[in-house]
Amino acid sequence: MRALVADDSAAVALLTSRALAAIGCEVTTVADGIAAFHQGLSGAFDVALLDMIMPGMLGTEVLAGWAEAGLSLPTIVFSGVDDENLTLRCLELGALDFIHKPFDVRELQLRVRVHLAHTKVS
Amino acid sequence: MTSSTLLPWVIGSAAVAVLLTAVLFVVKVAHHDLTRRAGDRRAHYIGAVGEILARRTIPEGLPVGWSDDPIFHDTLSEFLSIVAGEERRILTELSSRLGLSDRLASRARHLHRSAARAEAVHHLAELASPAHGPLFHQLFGDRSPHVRLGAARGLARLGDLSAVPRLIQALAAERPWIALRMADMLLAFGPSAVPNLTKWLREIALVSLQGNRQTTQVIRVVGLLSDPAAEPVLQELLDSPDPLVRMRAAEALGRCGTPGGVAHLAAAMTDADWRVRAQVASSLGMIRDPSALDVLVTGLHDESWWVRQNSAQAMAELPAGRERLREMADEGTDEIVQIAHYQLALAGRGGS
Repeated sequence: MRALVADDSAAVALLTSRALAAIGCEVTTVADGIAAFHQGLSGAFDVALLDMIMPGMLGTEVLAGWAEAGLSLPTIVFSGVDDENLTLRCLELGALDFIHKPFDVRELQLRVRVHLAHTKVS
Repeated sequence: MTSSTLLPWVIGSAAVAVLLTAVLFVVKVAHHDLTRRAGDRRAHYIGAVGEILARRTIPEGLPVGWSDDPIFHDTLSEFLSIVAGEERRILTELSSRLGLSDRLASRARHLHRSAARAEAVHHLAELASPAHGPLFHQLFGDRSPHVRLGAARGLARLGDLSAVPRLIQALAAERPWIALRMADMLLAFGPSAVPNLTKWLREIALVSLQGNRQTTQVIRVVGLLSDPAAEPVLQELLDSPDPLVRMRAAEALGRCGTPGGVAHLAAAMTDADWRVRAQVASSLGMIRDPSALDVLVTGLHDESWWVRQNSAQAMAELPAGRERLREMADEGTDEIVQIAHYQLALAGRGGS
């Protein structure tokens, strides 16, 4: 399984990439929205973890760009902003799930596992 | 001026320029080196804390220097702000072993530079325990607004409701930007602060009948906390003589109002101020109760363009409202046909 982690915080990127590596994912991390957009378009990933506020492009812009390009990459958005409208917007744009910071690492692992299993089945 | 008198002046100027350039170069190199070292230390701390979290054990003999290094404090605070559960417990244990709380408390009390004190109190807020309550109360009286903000954050993290009245006072006393941040700190208390906030609105705002920044901010916070318990006092504020207060109360009711309160809110569609009516229409759309439909249809004929637009947008939130818009799209006046088409198109795109 290959995972794309996009977050401009080195601490979040490290924590999530270690958490995903622990469940058997091969992780690529990027620190800005533009890199996340281009990496996603490469089609090399099974799941993406996308921060909402990043330099270059916002998480919603990355999701909209992927949707416009016809890419259906299972994506989990995580953000420190607790806003119902933002959550709904992300889901509308094709995100599978939304995780609020602070998050529990085991919950993150579990959600990624569930989504990957669901993607495999479908 | 002869060339013999000019020459020493030229040489002197050149010497000063060379000296200044050399000083600037040294300062730039030193700054670059300091920044690089800080970056290296930060990367080291991120790696170390990440390793501790991955192994789920804290090694014996932690470096003593960590607890005195502001870059470590920054790193730990960042981790604390993103993790919950077991990872947070490990980080709290790590800070406890390093005696970090005491160090930060001491820095917050004694450092001369207000920026350093503010940094310490903000980090301490991440580690806040009830024992820090008195210190946060004390620092809330600090001369620096950023230290006061950090103290407010700590008190909010502790859920110390005795601080709520002081924070409300600060909304009036602080400069606008700081007051806005203080309001956000009130928000951080969560719904447990609602009884104190509504008590203030009832005892002070409703009695004084004067709208001001303090009142409108408290109303905004109450709305964002989305607790239906605030509905009665917000309904009373719809009768305030200040249109700004009425507008904010209507906005807050959109967030925390219940279907049972729609009639009260709908009555404010006859308000003399178009800004209040426009906000009432939006709020009725947020509550999404079908009983608001008739008053929203009336709003489509309001004299204000904003009220007409907001009423149509609110109607698009209701299944029966969309049905009425479809009918109007076929047989209304030119403007209503246009508004109805526009809102239906937005609703069709998932915009409503």
